[in-house]
Amino acid sequence: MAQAQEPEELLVARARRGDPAAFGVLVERHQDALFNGIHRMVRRREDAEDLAQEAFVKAYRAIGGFEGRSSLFTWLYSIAINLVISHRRKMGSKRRLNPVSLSEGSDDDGRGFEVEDSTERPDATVERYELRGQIEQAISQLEDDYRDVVVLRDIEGFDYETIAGLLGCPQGTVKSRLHRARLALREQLKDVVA
Amino acid sequence: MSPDDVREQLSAYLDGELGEAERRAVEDALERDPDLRAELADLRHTVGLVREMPRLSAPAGFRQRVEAALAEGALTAPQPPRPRRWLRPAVLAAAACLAVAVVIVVVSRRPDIRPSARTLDHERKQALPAADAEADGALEEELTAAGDLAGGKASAPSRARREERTLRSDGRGAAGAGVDKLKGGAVDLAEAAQAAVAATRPKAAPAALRPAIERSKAPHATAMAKKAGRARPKALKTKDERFASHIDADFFAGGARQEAERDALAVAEGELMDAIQSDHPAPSAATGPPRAVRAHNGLHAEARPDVREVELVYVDLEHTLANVRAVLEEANLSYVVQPVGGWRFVIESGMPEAEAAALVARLASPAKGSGQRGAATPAAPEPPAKPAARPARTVRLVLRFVRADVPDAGQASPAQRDTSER
Repeated sequence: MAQAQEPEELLVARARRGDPAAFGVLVERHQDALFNGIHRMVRRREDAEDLAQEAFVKAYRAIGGFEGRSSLFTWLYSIAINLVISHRRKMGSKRRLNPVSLSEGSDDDGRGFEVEDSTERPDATVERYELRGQIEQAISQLEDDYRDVVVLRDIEGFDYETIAGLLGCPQGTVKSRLHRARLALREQLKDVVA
Repeated sequence: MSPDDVREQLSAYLDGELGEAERRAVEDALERDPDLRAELADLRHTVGLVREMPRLSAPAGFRQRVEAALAEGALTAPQPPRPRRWLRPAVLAAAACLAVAVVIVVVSRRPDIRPSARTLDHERKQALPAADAEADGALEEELTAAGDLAGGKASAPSRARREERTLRSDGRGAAGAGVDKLKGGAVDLAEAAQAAVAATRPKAAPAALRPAIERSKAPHATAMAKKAGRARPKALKTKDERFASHIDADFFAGGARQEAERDALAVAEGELMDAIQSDHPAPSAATGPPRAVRAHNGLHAEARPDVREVELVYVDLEHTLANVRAVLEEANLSYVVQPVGGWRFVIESGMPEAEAAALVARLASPAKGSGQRGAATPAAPEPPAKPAARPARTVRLVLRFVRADVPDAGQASPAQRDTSER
């Protein structure tokens, strides 16, 4: 479809004029990245789906206010993060640590993980899955503030300034949180890291 | 830089987020300290593990889900950006000035039960919380001073006080200018209060009035909130949490800096605001529009004795909503806010009948609702007065809010109503 190759700026302009099809293309472009980040933060697939959907709905309604001073994805992320924080408050889980399923992400539609290497040895596959499970567990054990910066930096690749903007805190806070989060992860994964 | 300081910088060093001087300091320390190098290697390995985590994908059909959600009800069109935060004080100040000139329209008048402006004003003052009482007191002084001046009894100190107040506060200055109008408004306020009690509605609660947002300790209210569904505005907690932040046009103004306030409940508040302003609010229920009879003046009227309906015209949405909630919460009343779209919303609350009139009077009070122009408009002809000594009972108060400058399709604009009904 021609729309799929259309530059993002044009799609945004059309969406601002109330073209839902143009916005649909934007959804398709960013849905996986946004869903991935939200899922890492809230750790429940169903919640992540609902929040990602809500984020896009809010974004469509608010797109008239998007002025392009950040990338569209960053702007979408800012909406999503607000929703995540709201969700946590509602769930009363600000500091509650929930166990995470090691198989999470591969449950419903087979699109959870990337395509596996068919030439990989079975024991290597098992080992890899175990390692993933450990890393997932370690990330999920982080406090929300720490997990957020890890997701934003190490999973989504935002720079410190953008993370500070997204979280509404100073860059110095991002820096120190990220360092402490990584130290905590290193501690959790010491058997793997050592 | 001490070894501990260097350690604190290792993550930023890995990310290339250090300035030139800091980077050199860290590199110097790394050259000298093998422990530090080992620590950096561990960190790098840890980060590498996290970065290699597989990326999850949105479920199949996600785009269609979003499009379906957009197609539902009010979510079909982008909204114009909200005024920037720095503009809001100016907007509120303007609304406060307008509120002084509050005009209350009563469709059906009942001169036989109309209380005096003095009585009503006294009741309103009694009911106001301490903080607002102070502001109200200032207004009261303005009234007194104006009265003194009119009677030729104004003393120099009272004039001086009045002038001082005017200088201190723009809003108060505007209030002083609108004293006469306020006096007239207080009379109409009394009519509004009585009209609220006199209005009648049918038995079934209109479907369109089902809750989108709710604050209540009552179990039935909680159940209603659940019905409101995912895309509907959420329950609000405290006054301070309500207007903390919105998804504003300037979300990332100043180089990717989001506004520091990010109260999650305020996001729900923004959603409510959007729904109110939307041309097509989300359908509230499958059961269709409320059962209503469109009366001669275009307002809804039904026939049930335990529902009281009042229409209020407001100027500033945020302020009005905050004010109404404050009043309801102060009275410890459960309530439901339902966006109707087109800048209209409905607030429902149950309460003893005797409280309804006083509550409406307070909601329409210009001192409290600085963004609000109240107009109580029971549309149906009023039933004949019933014998007194009726036992106390609970009524359902339905407050319909319409914005002053948004004409309702098919109806006279509020301004037109103002003139035609007077």
